[in-house]
Amino acid sequence: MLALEDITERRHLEVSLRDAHAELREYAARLEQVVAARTKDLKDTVAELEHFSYTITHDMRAPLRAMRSFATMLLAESGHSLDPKSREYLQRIATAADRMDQLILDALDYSKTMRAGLPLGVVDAEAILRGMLETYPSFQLPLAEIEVQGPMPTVLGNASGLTQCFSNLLSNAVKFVRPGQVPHVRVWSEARGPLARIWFEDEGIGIPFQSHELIFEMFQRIDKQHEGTGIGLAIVRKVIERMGGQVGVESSEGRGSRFWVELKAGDRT
Amino acid sequence: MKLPRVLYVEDDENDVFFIRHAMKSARVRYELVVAVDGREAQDYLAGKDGYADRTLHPLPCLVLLDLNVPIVPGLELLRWMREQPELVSIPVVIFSASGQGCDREHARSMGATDYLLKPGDMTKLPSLLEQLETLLPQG
Repeated sequence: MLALEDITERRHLEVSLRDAHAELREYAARLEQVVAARTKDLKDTVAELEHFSYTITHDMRAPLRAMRSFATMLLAESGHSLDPKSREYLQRIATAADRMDQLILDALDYSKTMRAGLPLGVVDAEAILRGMLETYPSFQLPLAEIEVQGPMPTVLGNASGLTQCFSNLLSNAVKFVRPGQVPHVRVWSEARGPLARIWFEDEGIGIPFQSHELIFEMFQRIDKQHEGTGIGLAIVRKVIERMGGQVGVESSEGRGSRFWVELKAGDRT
Repeated sequence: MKLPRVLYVEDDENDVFFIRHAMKSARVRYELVVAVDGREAQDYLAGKDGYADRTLHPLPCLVLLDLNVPIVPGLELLRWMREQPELVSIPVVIFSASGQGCDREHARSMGATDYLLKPGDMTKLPSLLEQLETLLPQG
C-alpha cells in the first residue's frame, strides 16, 4: 500500500523558520554594533569632558594666581606708600582671587567624586571615624571635642567615599560655631531595620528650617560669616546616594544641628 | 664662573615673571633659561637649530617643567627626555598648579625627580626656589 503525504507546507515552514533565524542573527549582530558604537561615543564624551574640566581648571587658575600674586606683591613692596583704602582694595582683590581659586578646586573635586568608581563592601564605620579623630588635629582637643559613642554597626558602603562624607560632616560640625565656642560633637548610630543611621550632633549655630534642603545643593552657603564654598554637603549627598543611602538634617537656628547618614547595615560575619 | 643653568619650560609669562622676581630675593646660584613650549624645550635639549652651540646653550643641570605647555605637553617631553641617553640623568622637577594625586603619580612613574606645587600666592616662591636648589647636582 502506498501512502502519500503533501510536504509542501512543511517545506515552506522550514524555509520561513530558517529565514527568521537568519534575520534574528542579523538583528543581533546589528544591535551589538550599535551598542559598541554608542559605548565608544559615551567613553569618548567622558574622556573629552575630563580633558575639558582639567584644561579649564588649569587655564582659569593661572590668571587668578597672577591677580592674587600681583596684589600681594604690590602690598608688600609699595603698601607703605598707599593710603589705607588702597591697601584694603588690594587685600580684597587677593581675597577674592583666593576664593575663586577655592571654588574652582572644589568644583573639580566634586566632578572627580562623581566620576570615581564606588565599589561597595562591608565597611566598619566606627573604625573610619576613630581613625579620622586620631589623624586630624582639628578634630581633637583643644580645637574640638568629638565623642564617638560605639559600638556602631558595619555598613554597606565604600570606605574612601564614607571617609570623605564623615570628614565633610565633622568639618562642618566643628566650623559652624559661635565665636570663641569650642565645638562639641556627638556621633552615634541607630539601627532602623535593615538600615543603619549614623548621627552627627553639634551644638553650633544651627540651620533655619527653610534651608534644610538648600544646603545639600552645590555652592549654597547659608552662613557667610564662616569660610567655605558650599560644596561639602553636596558631595556628601551625592556620595551617600551613590552608595544607595540617604542623608538628612534636623536643625533650627541657634540650636545646633543633627545630620544623619543612612546606609544598609553590613554583615558582621 | 659660569652659573649652572636651569631650563624652565613654561608658557605663562606671569609665572615666568614671578620666578625671575623671586630669584632676585632668593639667594640662588643658577641661571634661568625659559622655553615657552615643549617643542622649544626639545630643540634646546637636543641642541637643534639655533641651540646647536653648546658653549652658548649648555645642557641644563635641571629642568623645571610645567605639565600643561603647548605643542609638546610636559609629560610627553619628560617621556622623550627619559629615552635620550644624554638627557636621562638630568633631574626633571614638575612645577604644576595641579595638586591631583594622579598627576603626581603619573609624573613620578615617568621619571620625574620631584613634583612642586605652584603656590596660589607666587610671592611665596623664594623658599620654593631654595628647595629647588637642593635638587641641583652637587659639584
